[in-house]
Amino acid sequence: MDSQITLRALSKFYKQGDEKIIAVDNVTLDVRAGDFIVITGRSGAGKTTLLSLIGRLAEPSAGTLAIDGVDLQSLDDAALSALRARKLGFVFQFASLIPTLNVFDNIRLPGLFADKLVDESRVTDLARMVGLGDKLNNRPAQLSGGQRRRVAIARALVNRPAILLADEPTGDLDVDTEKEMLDLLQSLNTQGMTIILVTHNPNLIAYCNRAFRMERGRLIENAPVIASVLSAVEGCEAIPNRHTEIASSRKPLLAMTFENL
Amino acid sequence: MNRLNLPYIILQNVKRKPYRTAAIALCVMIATGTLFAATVAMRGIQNSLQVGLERLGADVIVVPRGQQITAQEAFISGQPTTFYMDRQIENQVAAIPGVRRASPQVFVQTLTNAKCCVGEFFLIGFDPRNDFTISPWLTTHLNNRDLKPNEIIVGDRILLEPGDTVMFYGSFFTVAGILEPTGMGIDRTVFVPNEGLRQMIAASHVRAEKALTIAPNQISAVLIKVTPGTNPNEVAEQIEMKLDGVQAITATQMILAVSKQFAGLLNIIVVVIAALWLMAFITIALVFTLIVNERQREIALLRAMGARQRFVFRLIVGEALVLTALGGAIGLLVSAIVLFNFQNLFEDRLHAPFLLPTAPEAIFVILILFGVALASGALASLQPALRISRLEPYEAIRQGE
Repeated sequence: MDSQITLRALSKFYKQGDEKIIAVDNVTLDVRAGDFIVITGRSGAGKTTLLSLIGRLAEPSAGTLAIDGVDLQSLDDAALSALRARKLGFVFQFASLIPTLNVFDNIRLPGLFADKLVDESRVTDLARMVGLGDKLNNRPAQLSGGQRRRVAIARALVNRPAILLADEPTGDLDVDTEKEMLDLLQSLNTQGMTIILVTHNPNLIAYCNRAFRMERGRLIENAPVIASVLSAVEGCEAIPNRHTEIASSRKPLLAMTFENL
Repeated sequence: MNRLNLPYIILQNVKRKPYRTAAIALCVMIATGTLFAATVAMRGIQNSLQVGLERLGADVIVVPRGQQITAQEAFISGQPTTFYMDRQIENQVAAIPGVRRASPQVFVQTLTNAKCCVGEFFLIGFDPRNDFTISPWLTTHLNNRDLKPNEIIVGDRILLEPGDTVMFYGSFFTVAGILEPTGMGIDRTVFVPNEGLRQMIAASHVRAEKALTIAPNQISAVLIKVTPGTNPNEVAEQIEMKLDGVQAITATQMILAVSKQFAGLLNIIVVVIAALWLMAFITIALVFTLIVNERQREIALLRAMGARQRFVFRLIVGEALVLTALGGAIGLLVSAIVLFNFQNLFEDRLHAPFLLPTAPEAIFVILILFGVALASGALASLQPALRISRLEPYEAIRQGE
């Protein structure tokens, strides 16, 4: 099966004085359409940076990245922006709503960049889906942290993206709402949406079909600490206690299913 | 469903911090308003000189030697003055090569208790036979009829209406017409035909508190029109060389005298305006640097949603344009209202010939200054807008943390 997202030896470095900080180190990964990938790891492990590289919010220091076979480095700003608007949906870790716009406008905002008029019914359906159908006229300041996160999820879905990149999407949510959101993501995934979710919460791998963890910028197949969880979850293709350092292997190991390994 | 587009987002951003919006708008308002006032003042002086000298119609004015300054003041500000020379000068001047027409005038100062108006006024006796100051006006405004000896034409700033009767030195005169405003001394001058003036002088000995002692052979000035193609300066030089006891002032000299008088003031105004604009420019640049810093995450978010660099650039510059447009429009409006409503006060305080620009000219100045305000706003926000639009979205998120 062709990969939808292809990462080859992708790296991101920063300079801090004379010191070179390696945020993402030599990551190779193939993501198939319809994958639900969960990447766990500690704070500062490089999860958010990797997600930003995949969404091309950051320019890689080395390596290549392609979506649907298109090398993202070859795209100019207009083409890259169009790709983000039409194919990608982002849910950020931080409170990411535009404070001057109400819930309704926040949800339909991505339509502006995809050059398509978003139907009012589409916005209201999404708001209802995330439980905020009665808050359409509210400003972000009038919402709780969890409600804002739900609006951000609805907004990420408004253009019907093929790929959803989510950074701690359930961070501020209570247990019940978290479950509702994850059920929603799973349902979207079932309908064919590719989801890459990064989190520090190992419990979320219960929803994925492929799980990874990041350590010091390297993408590593499922960690032993979560192996028991993984093995208990039906549908998550993980082999407990297998420590394959995907990136350093330079082989597209993740292009294969875990059954093939 | 309202339209969600760039202008809508810009307007929402402008409304976000009302005090900050008001502060920037106020800066621009002060700078634009001051620039408009100064431009109108300078243009008003130029206009007035141009219109006033056109009305006067003279290329050269001949006055007794030593009276150049007082004569200039009389013509420019309407300050009454009296000096006399022999009428023979008129014929001698007319004989100078290059002189096409020469018209004598006699200056009289009204008494403070003249029965018309408060203060002293400048009376000028003119000869309808060869006058070119008032006669052309009579042609167009009084159906070319001659003035009767007891009829006068008054300047715009003398509070009389056509048909009003006034008494000078015991003689009654009827107002036949009011000249259009020029902003110069003409506006405060009463023009009397020579015959009426001579009758008034004669009658003053029996009717007036103070008799006028102007001999029939005395005149105050000779106004000259040069032949087409002749340089007025050369004619003036010839007059001063050939005739004793007179000075010849050209219209250009009068303009230069006023310009010189206001050169210092103009320099100060230019410095103040430059400082105000610089202050407004720096304020806008600083505020927009702060704005883009505090909105880095928001802007990164827009980029993540698919906003192009161009969109972000237009978002920031657009906001600066709205703020400067707001400030500029209010500044120009307030300045225009003040100037046009307090024109007389402004004119009195300025102590200079002053004539407000015509409506089309004022609109032209307003449009130019509005454009300058917008360009300044755009320029001031250019660097922050370029920086944030080119910043990598992820970098913006990290810096915004």
